[in-house]
Amino acid sequence: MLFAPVLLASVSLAQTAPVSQEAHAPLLAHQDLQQSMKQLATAHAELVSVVAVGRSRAGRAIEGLRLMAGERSSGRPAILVVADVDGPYVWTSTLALEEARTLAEGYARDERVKKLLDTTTLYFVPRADPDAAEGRFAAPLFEQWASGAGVDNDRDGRVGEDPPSDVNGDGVITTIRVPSPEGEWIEDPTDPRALVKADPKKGQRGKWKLWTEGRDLDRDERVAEDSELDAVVNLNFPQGWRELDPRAGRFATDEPPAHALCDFVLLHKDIALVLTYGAQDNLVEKPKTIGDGGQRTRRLPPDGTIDADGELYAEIGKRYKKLTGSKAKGENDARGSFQAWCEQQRGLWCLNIAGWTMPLDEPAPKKEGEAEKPKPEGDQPEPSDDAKRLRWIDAHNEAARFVAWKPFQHPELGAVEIGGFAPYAKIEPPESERVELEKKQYEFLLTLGELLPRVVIPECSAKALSGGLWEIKAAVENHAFLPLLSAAARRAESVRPARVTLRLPKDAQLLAGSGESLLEDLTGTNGRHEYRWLVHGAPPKALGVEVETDHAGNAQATPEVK
Amino acid sequence: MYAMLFFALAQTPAQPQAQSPLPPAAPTVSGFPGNPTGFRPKLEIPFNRFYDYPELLAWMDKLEATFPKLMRHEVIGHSVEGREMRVYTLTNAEKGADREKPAMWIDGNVHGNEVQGGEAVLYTAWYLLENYATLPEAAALVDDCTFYLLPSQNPDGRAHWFEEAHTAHSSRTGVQPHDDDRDGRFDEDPADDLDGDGQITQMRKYVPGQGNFRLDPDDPRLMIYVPQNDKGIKGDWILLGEEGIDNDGDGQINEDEKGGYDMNRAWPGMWQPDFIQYGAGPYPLYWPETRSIAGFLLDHGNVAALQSFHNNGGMILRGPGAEAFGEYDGQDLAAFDELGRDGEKMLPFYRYMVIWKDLYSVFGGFTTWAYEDLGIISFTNEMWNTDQYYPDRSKAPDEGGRGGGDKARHFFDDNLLLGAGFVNWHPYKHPFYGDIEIGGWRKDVGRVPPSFLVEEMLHRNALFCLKHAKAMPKVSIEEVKVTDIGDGVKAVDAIFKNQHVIPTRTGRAASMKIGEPDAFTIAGKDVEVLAGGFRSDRWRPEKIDLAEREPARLLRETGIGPRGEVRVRWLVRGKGTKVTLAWQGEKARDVSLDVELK
Repeated sequence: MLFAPVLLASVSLAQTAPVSQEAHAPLLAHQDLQQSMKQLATAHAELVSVVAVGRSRAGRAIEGLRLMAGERSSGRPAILVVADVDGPYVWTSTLALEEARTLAEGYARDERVKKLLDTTTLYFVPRADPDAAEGRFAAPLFEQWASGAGVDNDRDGRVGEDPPSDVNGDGVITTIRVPSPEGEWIEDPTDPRALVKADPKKGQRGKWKLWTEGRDLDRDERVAEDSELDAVVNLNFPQGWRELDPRAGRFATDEPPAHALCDFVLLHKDIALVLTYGAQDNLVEKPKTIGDGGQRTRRLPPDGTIDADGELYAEIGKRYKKLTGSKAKGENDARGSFQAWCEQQRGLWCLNIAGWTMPLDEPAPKKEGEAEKPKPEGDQPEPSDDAKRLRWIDAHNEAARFVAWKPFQHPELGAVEIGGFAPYAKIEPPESERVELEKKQYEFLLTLGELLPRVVIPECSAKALSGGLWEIKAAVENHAFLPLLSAAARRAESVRPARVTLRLPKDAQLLAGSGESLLEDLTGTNGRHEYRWLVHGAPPKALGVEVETDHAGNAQATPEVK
Repeated sequence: MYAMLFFALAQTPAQPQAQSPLPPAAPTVSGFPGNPTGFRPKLEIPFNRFYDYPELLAWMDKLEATFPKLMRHEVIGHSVEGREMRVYTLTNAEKGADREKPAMWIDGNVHGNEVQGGEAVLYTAWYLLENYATLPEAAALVDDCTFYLLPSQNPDGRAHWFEEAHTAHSSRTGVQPHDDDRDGRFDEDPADDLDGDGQITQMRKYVPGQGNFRLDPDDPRLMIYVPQNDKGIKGDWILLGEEGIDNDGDGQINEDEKGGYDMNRAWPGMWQPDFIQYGAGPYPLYWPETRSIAGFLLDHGNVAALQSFHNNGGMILRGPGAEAFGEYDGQDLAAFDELGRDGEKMLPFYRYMVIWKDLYSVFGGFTTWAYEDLGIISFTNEMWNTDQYYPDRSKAPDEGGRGGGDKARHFFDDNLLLGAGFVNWHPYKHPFYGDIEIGGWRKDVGRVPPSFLVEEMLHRNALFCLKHAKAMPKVSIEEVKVTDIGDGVKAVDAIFKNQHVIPTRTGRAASMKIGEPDAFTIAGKDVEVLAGGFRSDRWRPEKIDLAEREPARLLRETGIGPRGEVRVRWLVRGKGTKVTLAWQGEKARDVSLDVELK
C-alpha cells in the first residue's frame, strides 16, 4: 500500500511487498540516498566521484555524482542531470541514481556507455531539494512542496500558526470540503468524487468550499492557511521570478538549494546540456515559443523559448517520444524555475522530463450487461481531468491514491467531509511500472552525448606563395545535432564562443587574417566556418591552428602542405 | 601695528601695578554646529579631502571611541578581497535599543570611483555626535532614531581607485575577475599607466593633415573637433583613447579591465540578467558585498528611510528604476515629493528626479529594491554637479565652440587650483602607435569636487539625510475619551497619530504585504473587550469597521498615513478600572497610554 502511513514508518517501502527479481530500489530518504551515492562512488572509484553542491536550509547536504572516464581533459562537454528538482518528485531521485549506477556498471560491457563516458562528463544531482523531499517519509503524509522562508500568510502578526494537519487521524493530509454559501465547487456530474469549479454562466451554483486538511487554530475562519514554510526552491530562480509571491521566496537564490545549484552551474562551464526530472516537460509537448528573441517591451523580452531553439527541442522531443513512448505532459509554467534560468539566462540546452503523469485517457467503464449504447443526443458533460484520473485509478486498482470522502466532525468547522487525492498520488508512477520507466529514460540518456556540439578541424592546409609567403587555410566544423551556441546563449552572451587562434613563432609575421578570433556562429549538423591567413617567415610545421571552448571540446591541427 | 605696540608695552618690565580683575576666558563649547566661532569639535576631521578605505574606517573608529555610548559597529560580511563590510549603529542605547526605533540606513560608494559617499557617511555621523550634547535637534535624532551607517558598499573598488591609476570613471566595478570580452581570459587587458603618473589620461597623436582634431590656437591643451567638410580641411591630431596597450595581443586595447560589472544592478527588485541590464551578474546579489547588505536590511525591519550616495550630476533620485514597473503609490509620493522638493532647496544645483523617466530605465538598483520590495522611502543622491564650478553662470568664461566647456574648466583649474587638475600633454613612445602624447584631467576632477568645495557638498547632503530621518514616522495616542454606554459597557475612543510625513507603513508595503501590519491594542486587568474597530467617521462613532475577531488587537495593513490619524473605538466592560492602549509597528517606536475607565 503505497500511501498508507503506518507502513511508511519503515524506511524501505519495498519491504512491504514481495520482492520480485525486477524490483527496483525503493524511494530513498535522505540518508539512504547519501549512502547509496557514496557506495556507488566507492564501488566504481575510477569512474565515479561524489561532488559537493551545497546545503539545504535545514542543513542537509546536497550532493552530486561525477561520472567521467579517463583524465579530466579541458573542454570535454558535460551533461548535468538534476532530479527531484521539484520537492515531491522523490521517485526521480531513484531514477537518476539508477541511471548513474547502470552507466558505471555498463562502462566495461556496453560500447555505447564507453563511448559516452569517454567523451562526455556526466553530473548527476539526484535531489535538488532534500528538505521538501524528506516530507515523503514523514508521518502523517503531506505533499510537501515548500522548504523555505515562511511569511505571515494571513497577516495576523504570526508565522506558521495554522499549518496543514491530519485532523481525522488517517495518516494522510488531504482535503476538507464544507458545504458553504461561499463555496465555489460542485461535484463532477460524471463522478461525484471529483470536484469542478461551478460555472455561474451555465447556471451552476457552487456548493463546496475546499480547504487543505487542517485546523483553524487561530480562529480566523481560515483553515491551514499559515504554514511555517512558504518558499518553494524551484520558484526561487531569477528567470521569471515572481516578485513578492510568498512561494517564490524573499529574493531569487535566497533559498540555499537554489543558490547552490546556480553556483554549481556557473562553476562547471563544461556543462552544455541540462536534463531535469520534475514537474516540467518540454519534450512530450513542443514548448510554445516567443519569436526570434529580439522583441522587447519596455526593454524586457518575453519569457520563454526562442523559435530557433524550439525547433531543435521539437526534434529531440520526437526522438524522445519514439524511444520512450512517454505521454506525460508536464506543467508548463516555468517562471522562477531552475530550468528557465538554465535555458534563458545561462543559454544551456535544457531538456525537462516529467516521466510519468496519471493518464487521462482511460476509457469509461462498461457497466454489466450493457451493449454499445448509441450516443444520446444533447450535451453530455465531459469528464473533468480529475474524473478521468479516477477512472484510471479504478481500472488499475490504485485505490490508495484516492481517499474516499468521509464525514467528519471538525473542531472548528463542524460537519465536513475529508478525502480527495492522496499526497503524491498524481506524481508517482505505480511501482510496477517504474522499472520499465527507468529503463526507457536510461536509453534516452544514452543518446544525449552525441547531440552535444564538438569543434573539429577537418581541414588545415598550407599553400606556398613565393618568397616564403604561405597561405594557411582551415575549416572549423561541428557535426553534432546541436549548434555551438543556442539562440538563447547567443542572446544572453552567457556561453563563451569558440576561440580560434593561429599559433606562430615569434619572428614570423602575420600579413593577413586575425591571430585570434571568436566564433559564435557554428550551426548544428553542418556548421562550418573557414579561415584564411597569410604568414611570412615560418614553415607550416611551425604553425598551429587551435580551437578552444569551455563546453564543446578543443581541437588542434598543423597545416598540411598542399 | 597697534597690537604690536600694545604687546610691547605689556612686555615692558614694570613695577607691579594694580590690575583690574578680568573675567576668565569664556569656555569653548565642544561640538560643531556649523557656527564658526566659539566651538571646537571633540574630534577634528579634515573635510576637504577624501580618504582611502583604511583611513575612512579609522576615522569612523575614532568617532566611535570619542562617543562610545552613541555609536558601535559590527562586521556584516566581507568584500571579494576580504575587506570588512562594517555597519556603524548610531543611537543612544540608553533611550532604547536600536531595533526599537525607526532607523535610517545611509551608505555610499557602491561604485568604487564614486568615493565621496564614504565621506558623507562620516560627516553625518560626526555632525550628529559632535552636536548631541549641545543641539536639542541633534539629541532628539540620536535619542529617538537609529542610524545604520555603511561607509562603503564597495571597499575593493574604492581601494583600487585610490591606490592605482584610474580615470574619474574607472574602478566603478568590484574586483572579482570577469571575462569582459568573452575570450576565456579574465581582466587581462586593463588600461595601463604608461607614463607612471598615477593617472589614466588620454593618448593623442600628431598626424598632420590626417586627423580630425586641431589644437586651439590660444591654448594647445584644448583639442577642437574638425567636422567633415567639402573644403578639404583636416585636423592634424587624432585621439587614441585612454592610456594603454594591447596586453593580450587580440587587436583591442583596454577591453578587459579588472572586474567589469556593476553592483548597483545586482539587487533583487526587477532584477534582469546581463544581456538586458549591463553589469547585473548571473543572479541577484551575486557578489558578497551585496548579499551581506541585503541580509542586514531584511533582518532589520525597523529601517524606514534610506539614502545611498553616488556621484555625479547633482540629483536627488527616486524610482521607479524601470518604466515597466509603473507608478509608485500616491500616498508614498507625498513623502518622496516633500523631501525631494525640500532637498532641492537645501542642495543648489540638485534636481529631484525619477530614475527611469528623467534618466534611463535601470533594473536591479539598490534604492529601487529598498522601496519596491522592502517598502522603505529611499533616495539616491548624485553628489556634485560641474555647474557648481560657476554658480553664477553669467560670469563663466566664454563657452563658444566645442572647446568652450573645456575653456571654462581650464580657467577654473588654472586660477583656483593653480593647474593642479590637469596633466599637461607630454610625449611618449607607444609600442604600437609610435610617437604620441599623453595628457588629460586627473581622476579626482569632474566627478568629485575640488577640495575647497568638498565640505559644503558633504554638509548639505548630510543635513538632507537628517531631514529625511526626521520625517520617519512618530506615533502618539491622543484625545482619548471614555464614554459610558450603560450596563457597565464603556466606549474607549482614541486617535492614533503619526506626526511625520513618512507613513508607518508605505502604500507599497501595504499593497504587497511586506513586513507586518501595525497593531492597535487595548488591555486591562478584569476588563473584557467586547468589540473594537477603526472608525471611518469623525462624528458618527457607529460607522466603524468592526474587527471580526480578537478585537483587543486590531491589525491595520495600511498603518497610519503621512501626518495621518487613525480613530479607534473599543467597547469594554468589567470590574477593572484601567486599560492600556498601545500601538506597535515595525518602523516607529511603540507607544502606550494608560487610561482610567471612569
